[in-house]
Amino acid sequence: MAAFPGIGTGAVTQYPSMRHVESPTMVLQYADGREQRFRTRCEPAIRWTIHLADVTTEDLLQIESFFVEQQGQSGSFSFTDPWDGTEYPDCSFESGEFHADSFAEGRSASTLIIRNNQV
Amino acid sequence: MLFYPQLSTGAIAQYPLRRSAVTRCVMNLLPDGSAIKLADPDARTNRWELRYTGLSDEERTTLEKFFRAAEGALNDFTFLDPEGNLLRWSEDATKPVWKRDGLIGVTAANEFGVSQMRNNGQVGQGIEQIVSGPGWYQYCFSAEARSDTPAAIVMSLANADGQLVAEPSCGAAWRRVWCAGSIAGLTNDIRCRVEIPAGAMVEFRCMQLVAQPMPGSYKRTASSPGVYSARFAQDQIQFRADGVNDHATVVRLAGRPGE
Repeated sequence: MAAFPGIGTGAVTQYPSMRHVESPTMVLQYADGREQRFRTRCEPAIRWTIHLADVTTEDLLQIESFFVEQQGQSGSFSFTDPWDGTEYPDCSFESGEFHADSFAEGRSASTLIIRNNQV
Repeated sequence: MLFYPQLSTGAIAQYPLRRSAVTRCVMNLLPDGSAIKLADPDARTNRWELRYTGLSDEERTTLEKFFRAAEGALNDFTFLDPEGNLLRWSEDATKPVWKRDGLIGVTAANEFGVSQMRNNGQVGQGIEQIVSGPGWYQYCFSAEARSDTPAAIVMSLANADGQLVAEPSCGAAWRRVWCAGSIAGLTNDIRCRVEIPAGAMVEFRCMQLVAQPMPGSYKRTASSPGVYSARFAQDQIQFRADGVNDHATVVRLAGRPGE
């Protein structure tokens, strides 16, 4: 199983970084105000926003190569949550597009979102 | 054949610029949140957003004429990735794309990206690669080199219209060496050659050809170099005049690796 590569420092993201936890619930409200609720997903969906504000072009190319190897949204890889160190074995890129913004020689930035596939 | 033009400085783009890798994946989302996915690797494309400021009247006219010649998004042209390494297999001179002189021995790069080149002949010999691209553009062919004994390296850019040669020396410490310039003419290719003296053994890494006047940061390549068959991803091009001889515009391109 492929693992999401870190940047040169060993980190996978820079500040500011975000983590979203989503627990989708279907809520049916009845005329008397009572509700029937049931979840539409077994486990909460987790998304991480990987924010790379200033990395070397080499580091970003490594991540881009990984994105291409995974064929964008299609591939599955393991990802270690930078917030608590938990490893999630089945994750994918949220988007089919990878953007690399170069603002100086050898310096680049990018933002990408990784989601946990396990339901 | 159309080629995306260089600016008067020899650069193709200015900072900041955006490069995107676009993939296609057919997804069937199920009610429980899981997904059935099927990748479409043949649909993969690259996109660029190039922002220009401070363009001269001549540069603006060149870009506009080029847009007209391409008829917007209609016609393809060759685009050299402004940040890309135009060489194929930049760390494996054993690949067929590299032409080796008869008594030159080369190794593929080790885990540190270092290749060895040994000249077993009686005269200077080397390796070369021919890149398809406008031969009259500004190019820089560079590498990092070192040798246990001082060696004079010959680096050259050449085509049917002429040749540029640089003869840097290298020693025990890693040193960036390069040959840069432009060759006036109409030939649609450029040959990059590096040659070492008879009996010499030189280590190389970070071998790169870029379409700009000076070496850039190194990008490793395999079978796909930074040469693309591209088109405009826009039906109109708009220039803003910020002053006398001072224009700005945004160019959006879409492309696939050239053959």
